Order: sequence, then structure tokens, then C-alpha cells
Amino acid sequence: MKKIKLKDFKKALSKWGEVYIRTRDGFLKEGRLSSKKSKKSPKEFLLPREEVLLAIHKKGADTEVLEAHPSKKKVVMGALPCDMKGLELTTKNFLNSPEDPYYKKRVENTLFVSEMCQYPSSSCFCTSFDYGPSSKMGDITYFRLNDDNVLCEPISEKGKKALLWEQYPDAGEKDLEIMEKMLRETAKRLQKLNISYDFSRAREVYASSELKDAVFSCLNCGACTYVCPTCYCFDIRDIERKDFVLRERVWDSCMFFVYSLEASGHNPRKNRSKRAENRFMHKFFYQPLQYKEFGCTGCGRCVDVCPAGYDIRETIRSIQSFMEGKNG
Amino acid sequence: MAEYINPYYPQKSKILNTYFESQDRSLKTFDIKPIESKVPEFIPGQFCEVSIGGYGESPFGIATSPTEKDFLRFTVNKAGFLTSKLHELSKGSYVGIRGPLGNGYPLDRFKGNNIVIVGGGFAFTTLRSLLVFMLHNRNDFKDITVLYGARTPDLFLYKDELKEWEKRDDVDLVLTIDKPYEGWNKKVGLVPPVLEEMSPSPVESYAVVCGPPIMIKFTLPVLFKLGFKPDRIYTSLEKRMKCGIGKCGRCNVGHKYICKDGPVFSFEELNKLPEDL
Repeated sequence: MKKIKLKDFKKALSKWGEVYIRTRDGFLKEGRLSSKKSKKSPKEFLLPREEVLLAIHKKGADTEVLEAHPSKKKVVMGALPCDMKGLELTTKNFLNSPEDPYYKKRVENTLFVSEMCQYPSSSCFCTSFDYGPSSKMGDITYFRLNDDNVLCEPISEKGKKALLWEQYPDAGEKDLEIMEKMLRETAKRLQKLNISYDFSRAREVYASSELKDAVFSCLNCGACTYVCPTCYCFDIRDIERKDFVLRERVWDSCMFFVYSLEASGHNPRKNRSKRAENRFMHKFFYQPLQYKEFGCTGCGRCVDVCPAGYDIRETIRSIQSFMEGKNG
Repeated sequence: MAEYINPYYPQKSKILNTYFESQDRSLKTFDIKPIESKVPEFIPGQFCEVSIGGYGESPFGIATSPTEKDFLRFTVNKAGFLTSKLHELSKGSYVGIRGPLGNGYPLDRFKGNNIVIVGGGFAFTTLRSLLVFMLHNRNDFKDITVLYGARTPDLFLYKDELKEWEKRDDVDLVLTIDKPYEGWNKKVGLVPPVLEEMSPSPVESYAVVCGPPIMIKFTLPVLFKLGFKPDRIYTSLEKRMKCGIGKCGRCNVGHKYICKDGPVFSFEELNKLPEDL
């Protein structure tokens, strides 16, 4: 690992692209690098809240369709392991066949510089999954040694090429010791949930009253889907301008009634609880069945923002005991 | 390097012809041809996203058979924002088409078997595709039985073709309407009891059932009673869709996406998935 002054690190990264740092609210161009996780995850760098896919130019009865090509280079600095894990999961959705060209372009144009986490909050439970606060993720990873210095190293080829690594001094043994110690302490402060689900029982769990009871307090406001690093549902809508139409992709939420409302008036998830149940099932049964990995990173943001005090960890526990109870 | 394909890019297509299927003008058929590319290869049961700039996109089952290569046919029920606008369009208008999307019927499995098609209302679109395909490759299949039900005689799709198929002796076509209707001298009765009366043999047979959920719900027990196993009964599902390529999230049934893993599923597959339709 290399030891670099935070100021110099940021400056060097800005040569690759525009640097966005983790602040309390989100990843912004201006602001102070926060110590805790941000309110919003950095998923919008790959899946913006609003994104033009196509421009449809009207020429009388005829039309011409032009594609958008996102090209701005950006550096996401200070993404925590949970943020990176979230992006890994959304990437599975967007880059499995057929590849999403817009998402792919944004992956190519973004450099992810992750920070090993030292300040987990009470809502965090990342170690319940197969990674943790000291996981080295993204293109470059760093550890904040103190306010002025970071210990960092490249991970991907992109990360190796992004900086002139040989110009920086190697981290001293003492610094590395401090890092190891701090990361060990952090891991201890995190709560680890026991999640051993039998995914083949998805049908049974979805129909169970245990799940219905567990999500009862959900108001369907959608705040959790907004801050969740793995929620990627989107809508495609047409915006009319004078001579052309923009076909945009916008964030959507499975919590909303209209999300699954059909033109006939039928809605497979017309009940409040059905929508909340589907969200839980998607993260804890359907994604594991699809990608052999949970669709939750344990970042705890949904717990932080829920106005009704719904805590997904309670649902995880209820379903765990449902599984165990039924197993004998 | 593989050719760059943007799965969201609609192929510019021209409406060659339109016809109203029913006198109430709720069902309109469109024959559409891409103008910058060939009519794409597809399998019966697949669908396309048809779009109009400013009105969005909607998925419609392809009603033409792969053996009819001149255009793609879609029959559209006027129900929402896009379909209302589509109904306003006539011959010569342009629309966008993405597809074919989805899996389609398992033709390889169907080959060499008796096929029982059970359709209801305007869900007959991809069933027409399948039927025309099978009639074109008639020797690949054994007996073909079709039961098609509608609320009134007016609501049958493709009436001229139905007349022709009724005359053929290599397909057994039964049409039924829900209630007696003046001038209708064919079957009267809901699809499930009529099917029970017909009692097609389950031996070396596959059943394909498409129609409103209520019809499917009451048709399944009849098929089971006749001896059809869940892995030999197929259906085509519908849900609200947007992207059509398994990305946007909304059309899932359990861990399967109707747009990508379906729309065609066997009941054996559906029995393993959560009930979410």
C-alpha cells in the first residue's frame, strides 16, 4: 500500500475525471469527506435518477431516433464497501444479457475509489453477507489513516492506470498495523445476522402470514427504494418537447400502486403489504435464485430513513425463525 | 467484436394495413413492417414492444406466424394511453418496434404430439401464430384441436380465417360463445365445460391455454381431470412491462421475469413460483 496525503490523492484523481466525494447527504462535487455512510448511495452514477435514452425527432409524419451516449468521466471517491457491493449487484442486472449500453458506458466512464469503513452505525449489518467493512472493492481502495493521510492501493487495471503509483512512498509498517487494528475493531462493532434461507421455499414464504405480519408497518412511501444501493427498478417515459420527444429512464419504486397497475385495471400487487412483501422477497429469495447472492448489502439505509420505523432486520429474523420452525 | 445493439432502440416501422376485428371497434389489428431492416425472425409466442414517440411503449404478442414473412401482425385492445393513440393511427403511419422479445412456445417439445389449443377472447393473437405455424408444418404434429371462446360472436379475432379453418379436415376447431346470441348456431357455453365435453385425449398431447385469468383458472381443473399433467400444459402470461428485457423489474413472478424468461410458462414451472399474478 502507498501512503498519500488526502489532498494530493484527491488532486491526482481529479486528472482522471470530475471527483465526487462522499458527504453526509450523498456524493457531491463540493463538501467535506464524511466519516459515516452517506444518506444516498452512489448508484446514481451508473443509474441516474433521470437519464435520456433516446431522442425521437419528428419530421412531419416521419421520425428520426437518436441515441444518447453518456460520456462524462467521473470519479466516485469514498464509496464504502456497502456502496460498492450494491453496485456489484445492480451491475449483475444491467450487464447480464442483453447488456444495457447506457449502464455499461457509465461503468467505463466512472472510477470507483472505495474507502474501508471505520465508522459503522447502529443500522449497519454488512457482515451478515459475504463481505465486510475492510473489503477492498472498486478500482482503488484506501484507508483513512487520519485527517490528512490515506493508505491506498489499486485493485483493477483501471485503478492501476489511474495514478502514477510509483511516485508515492510505501506505507510504513506502523501505519499498516494501525489500519489492521482499526479494521478489526470496526468488524467487532457490527451485528451479524444469521441468514440461512432455503430459497426453494420462496412460494411458501411469499404466501405465509409470517411475512405479511413482518412487513405490516410499511407505508409504501418508497423512501427505502430511493436510498437503497441495490434497488434499480426503473420506468421509461416519453417527455414531449416542441419538435422532439425524449425517451427517458427514471427511477421507479415497487412500493407504488401504479408500478404494477395494468391497463385493464388489474393490479397483481394492489395491497400495501403485497408490495412490501415483494420487495423483501426480491432481495432475500429472488435475487439469490437468480444470481446466487442476496440482493441486500446490509447498509442499513432503509432502516435509517423509514418514517414508520420498519426495520428489515426484524423481517430477516422472522423469516429465519419461520424457516427453522417449519424445518422442525 | 460483437455488433453493437441497443436493446432500447426502436426499429422504425410502417403500418401497412389496419382492420377492426370487432364492430364495437375495441379490437384493431395492425400489419406492421420494419422499413430499415428485414422482418425479424421469431418464434410463435414471442412479443414486440410497439412504441409511438410521446406515448411510450407497450408489449403485444406477435399474431403472424414465422412462416408469414411479409410483416408482423398485432391485435390491440383499446385500453390505455398508448393503445388509444395506436387506434387513431392508420395505414402509412410510422411506429417503433423492439423485438422479438421473450421465449415463445416450445415448438421442439410440441413436435410429434397432439396439440390442444384453448383460447379465450382477444388472447388468441399468439395462438393464431402458433396455429398458422403448425398448419404450415402440418406433418410435424399429430391431431390439432382448437377450442376458442368469446363473449359474443363479434368478439372473435380473425373471423375470415376461422371460417377457413373450420372447413379444413386437418384441424378440429370449435367456437363457443358465453350466452345464446341471435343468429349463432354453433356452440354456446363457457370454455371449461365445452372443453370437458370435447374431452381431448391427454396421451402424447400438449395443451396451450391463453385467455383471461378467470378462464384459465377454471380450465386448468378440467385439463387435470382429463389427465393432462402440469408439465404438458402451457400458457402465456401478461403483466405490466416496460423494458421488455428483464431489467426494469416490474413483471416478475418470483425470480422469473415474464418479459425475458416468459411469457410462455408450463404450469409445472408456475407451480414452483410464488402466486403473484
